[in-house]
Amino acid sequence: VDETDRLTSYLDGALDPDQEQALEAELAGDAVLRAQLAALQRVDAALARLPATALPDGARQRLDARLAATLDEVVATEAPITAAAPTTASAVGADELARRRRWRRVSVAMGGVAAGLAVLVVGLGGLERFGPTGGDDDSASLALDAVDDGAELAEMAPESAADGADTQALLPDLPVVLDDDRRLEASSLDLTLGAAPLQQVAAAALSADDAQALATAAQRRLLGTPEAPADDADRGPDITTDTEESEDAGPAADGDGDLAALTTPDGRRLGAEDVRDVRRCVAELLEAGTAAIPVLVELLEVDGVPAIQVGLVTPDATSGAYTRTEVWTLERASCQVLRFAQS
Amino acid sequence: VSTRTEVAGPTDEQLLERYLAPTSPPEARQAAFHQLVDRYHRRVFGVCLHALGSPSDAEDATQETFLKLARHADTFRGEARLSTWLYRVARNVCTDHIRHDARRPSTPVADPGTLDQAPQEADRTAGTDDALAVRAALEQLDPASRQALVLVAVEGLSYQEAGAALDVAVGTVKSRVSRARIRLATLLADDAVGGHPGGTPGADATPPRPDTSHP
Repeated sequence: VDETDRLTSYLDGALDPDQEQALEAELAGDAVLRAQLAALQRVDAALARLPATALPDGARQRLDARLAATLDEVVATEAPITAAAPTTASAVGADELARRRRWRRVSVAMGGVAAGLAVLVVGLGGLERFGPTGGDDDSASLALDAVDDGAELAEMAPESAADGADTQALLPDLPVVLDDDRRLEASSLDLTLGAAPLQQVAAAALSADDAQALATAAQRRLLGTPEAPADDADRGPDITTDTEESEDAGPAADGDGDLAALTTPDGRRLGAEDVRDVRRCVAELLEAGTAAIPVLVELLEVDGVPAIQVGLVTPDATSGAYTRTEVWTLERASCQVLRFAQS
Repeated sequence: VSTRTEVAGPTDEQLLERYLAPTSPPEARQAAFHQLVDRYHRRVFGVCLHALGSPSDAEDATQETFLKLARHADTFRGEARLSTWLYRVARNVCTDHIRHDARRPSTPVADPGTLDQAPQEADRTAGTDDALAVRAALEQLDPASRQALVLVAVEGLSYQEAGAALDVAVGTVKSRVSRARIRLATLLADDAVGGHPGGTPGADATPPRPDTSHP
């Protein structure tokens, strides 16, 4: 190693501690060596200021377009999505959903579990008519048992065990939004997948038609109107002025739509910043797809990182019935997917 | 139920695994792939631009590189880092481009040695004295050293990655980069002495540079 290679290695942090000490001792007593080091440092600084190659405008979009068919093909060969096409024109098939959800840096997962999900059980009583296990609390208590802070919420369930409310009546209850400062270890996220609300909705095995109204309303409540996604600070009635698409879920979304959905089960409204973050990440996740029913949203910390969990019920690939549960855990700041789990 | 729990951010290799996981939902698999694209799109393009010289050729080669990754990810054996493998693929794609172009007489064959600076880069830093000085000094380096230096010091590749991109051994990249830095230091020192009679190579600290991106 000649003298100057030694200097570059020193700058790279590639010398071992002994060599490093020896060189520093030399530097202390050798002005020429110091000047050489300073010159190298100036070179490195000047190089570091040169701009790295930038992507041409639109390069990512063009790349994504060219990749799309191949990616679809690759992921389809291993995990075939059968053409259990939804029967209504408005329903979106699973593969279409996947396409819509082709988020850039999103991922999803949500886990939230717990806590407040028992409330959902209540609200979901009306789902019984769509499926065999609608009002059953077994799954609810299962999920809640696993979570220590679930007790008080579990108590809320019985009283709300609603009567034969129809689907419309259920709409205001979805998604369940949790903001309890929960701090989880990543290793405990699996619990969320068993959260009662998810289980309940999945157990209802909604048909595409039935799921559609629920999904549409829940998504709108969660996301607000597309035109004004950020104006949550002052909630206005405009949030429910809908666009032209099929809004047969209208009544439930009227009036106290929007922020009502972003109110925790104990009645607290999320702050504007929370609402914005939730919308940003959920919007990326769903990309306006209407086939997923957002059932749970939870603001929490995972291993000390602020995160948002989103629990979805989506159509089973083969039957088309809404029986699949997904939990996406997204880093709150970036909406990057930290974790994804599915039933 | 997935058992994966990398909250700190998955490694490249883990993302590739997710992309290939047959039991994962297609959307999660695609998301994993797109995360890899997020991480490497710009630098793969940079490598291709340095190899090919033309932004449109480089973009095409970059697309082919990621297509190959998408199609042949399962052939990655983990003997090297995924990034190193990716740059090697990029290099092969670019080499094919050059060969292909060479077969078409109407297309001038790119001389990689003279194409280290993309025009757009030069434009972006035009008017900045020390950037110009550095560029002028870079031009005086031998092409092999210049390429290695630019990939490592400007584009941000590791020595291993640059070795894959240039198809040379890691040790070769290191020594080329080291020599290029030293040579550059000498050139810039000479330049400083010549251009500013009072300047002393070791003494004038690099002044903070105004941000030229805003007029």
